[in-house]
Amino acid sequence: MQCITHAPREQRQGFKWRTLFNLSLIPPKKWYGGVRLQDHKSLSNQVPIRSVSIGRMLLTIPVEQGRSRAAPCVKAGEKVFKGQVIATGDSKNLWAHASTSGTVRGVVSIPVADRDHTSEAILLESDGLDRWGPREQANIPSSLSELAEYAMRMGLAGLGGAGFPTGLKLGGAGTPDLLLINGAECEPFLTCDDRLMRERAADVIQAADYLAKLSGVSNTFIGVESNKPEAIRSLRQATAAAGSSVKIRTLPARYPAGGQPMLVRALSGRRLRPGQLPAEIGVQVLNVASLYALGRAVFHGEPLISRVVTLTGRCKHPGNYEVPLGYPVNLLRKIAEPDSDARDIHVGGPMMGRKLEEIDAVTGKTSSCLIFGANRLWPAKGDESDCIRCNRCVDACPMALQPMSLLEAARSRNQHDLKQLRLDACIECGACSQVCPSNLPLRDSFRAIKKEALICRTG
Amino acid sequence: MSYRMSLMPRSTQGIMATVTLAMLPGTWLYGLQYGPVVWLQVIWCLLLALLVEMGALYLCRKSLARGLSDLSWLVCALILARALPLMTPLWMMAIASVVALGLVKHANGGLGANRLNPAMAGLAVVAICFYQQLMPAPDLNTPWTLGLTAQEVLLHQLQLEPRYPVDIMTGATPLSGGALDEPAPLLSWIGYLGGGLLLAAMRVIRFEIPLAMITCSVSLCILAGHSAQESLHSLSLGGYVFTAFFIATDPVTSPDNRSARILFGATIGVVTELVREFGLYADGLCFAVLVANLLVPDLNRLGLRLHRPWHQAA
Repeated sequence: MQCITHAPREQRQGFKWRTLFNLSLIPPKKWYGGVRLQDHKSLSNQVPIRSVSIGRMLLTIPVEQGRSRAAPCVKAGEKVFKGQVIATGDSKNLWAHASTSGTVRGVVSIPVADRDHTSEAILLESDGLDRWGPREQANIPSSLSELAEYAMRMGLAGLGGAGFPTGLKLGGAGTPDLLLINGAECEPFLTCDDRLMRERAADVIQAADYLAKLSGVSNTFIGVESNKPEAIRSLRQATAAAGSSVKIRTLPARYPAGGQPMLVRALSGRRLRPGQLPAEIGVQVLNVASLYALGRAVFHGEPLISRVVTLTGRCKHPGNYEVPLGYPVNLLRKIAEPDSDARDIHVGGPMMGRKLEEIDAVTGKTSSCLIFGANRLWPAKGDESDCIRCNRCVDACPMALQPMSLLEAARSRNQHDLKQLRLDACIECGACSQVCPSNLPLRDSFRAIKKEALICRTG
Repeated sequence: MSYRMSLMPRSTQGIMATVTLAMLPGTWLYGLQYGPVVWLQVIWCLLLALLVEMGALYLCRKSLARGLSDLSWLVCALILARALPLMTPLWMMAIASVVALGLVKHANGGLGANRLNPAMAGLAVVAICFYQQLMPAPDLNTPWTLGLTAQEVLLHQLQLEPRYPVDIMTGATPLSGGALDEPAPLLSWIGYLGGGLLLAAMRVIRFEIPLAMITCSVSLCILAGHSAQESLHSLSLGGYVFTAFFIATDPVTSPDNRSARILFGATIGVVTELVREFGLYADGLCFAVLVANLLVPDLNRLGLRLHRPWHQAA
């Protein structure tokens, strides 16, 4: 184990004659598959991040995040400050904080955009003053375990999509020798990380340097897709200004360049096998927005109470907004002013996200993007027809799976074949569904069958 | 969402329509080369394919509009029209269509479920069962069908007229007849080659299959003692280019990974050449494709063993 985690980057071995005949000789740092998507980033990345106004209104702050669940510790009628703990967690569960100052009105259940289930939440009537409470002393954690514990207490979660608690990630990292920061943002409509890297590059670099020093890694890489030249430039400038050793790397603008195995491969050349944790190959992967939040928590004592959300699509005021957690989607819609015919809302990116059914939903830690009028921007797929085995899904699959055979096995519930074809390796990126000329629901069936298997195992 | 490969057709209908369009220049040249019989055969095959497809869809209780809208019957009909020997009687075309669309395609579960190439299976049944009654192929240098009027052809196809006397025909292929010196007038294979290259550029078909097929055939032909020029010329005979680009590349019946596709093309090339060299039939393309179709599952497995995903350690 030790020797694996400390393994240097795959070194070029002496020339072997066998390599001449090896059909699957793959250059280092390269991954295959993926799709090149039409870019829609310029819709929303033209204006700086703005903050939304918090007047006298009702916020509903979720206290659940994935499997983590905090216990509410405030009573109805209690006055709270911005950033005050409203639900306590522990070493496994994230703490929750008030997004603004006001009066607690009780505990309710609310749908969170981008999440499957409704979440327990604290109803907070804001007083419109947005007053910070006494902040935690800026005691900068000096060891990784301390930082992990601090991150849990600050409610830090991965802001890229999965929402895994940052503290657990840091705590379970082992002793990595590489820190990889994911700024790929390969979803074609999202620009929240793009704007964040452009405008707050210095903070990002500061946090990266701090984390690198704390975990004792030798190299830090930030991977940014080539379609964000401004972000790359601004990060490079910030690196030079801070005298930091962080390296900015350009990733191919090919979906899903931000997927963990692809990112690890492109930045470090190491191979993250399906089912393997990054820690096992000695790397630590963090989203750039999560890293920024970590920096805010460490250097400014700010818990995670807001995030940058992209509002885009067919609306009058597209752009990126700093939105407090628990902010109603309805109000965000009012801010964006969608066109009269753009009634539907899509949450998350077009590839990984979903249609928002519940209109009373609030923003959570993983709600990265709201797209208005999605069914005009990418019309719904036509009727599905029969698979003609054109192999486009095989070419597009970044994990080198055989989606068409997987679908066949999923439809006949053939567990043996599903295992043989490595369903577990599927990262549900949706590239296969995207390229399928027969409009087959490839990704959706894989998701469903995985969920089913999970229920079978646990239930 | 849309992906940026503007040339690639987005839907199954689009793919089928592109294949149909790519086949037209070759078919047109073929028609110029051999006269009205080509067009009549195309029309008959289209009609029969449409009827058989509709009947099969009805029997399978599938939606007629949806089943017909994928246009796969159109491609199959055009392939069958080109693959069947000229001057085939109508009833044989009907048998071939029923075998192709009815038995091979729909009895196996519809589009995408068949292991054999439908058109080739239809042709094989006709070629094996009614070998004596088929007219030998009019070769490049004596396109005897060119002189026939549409009416004569029609009478023959409907078998209202006695069979043509045998002495019109030249039984042997030019390769063994030694008639290689005179260039043939109109070469339909150029049309098919153009269409095929277009499809390959649009990524509708996989280029490795025709490439492997042609490479294997030519090298085997040279090994068998023919000159390089002769070997290359043999490619223009008997619908070889057409088979390489339009039949062997059928995605349904070809393998699922590149190494396997190369082996698949090689198998077709080798078997074709063996039949041409030693076989009873003038051309073995049809049998070669069917043999390779049957090998597909094994080739797939073999190919997967050769191919290692990028995320697996070398």
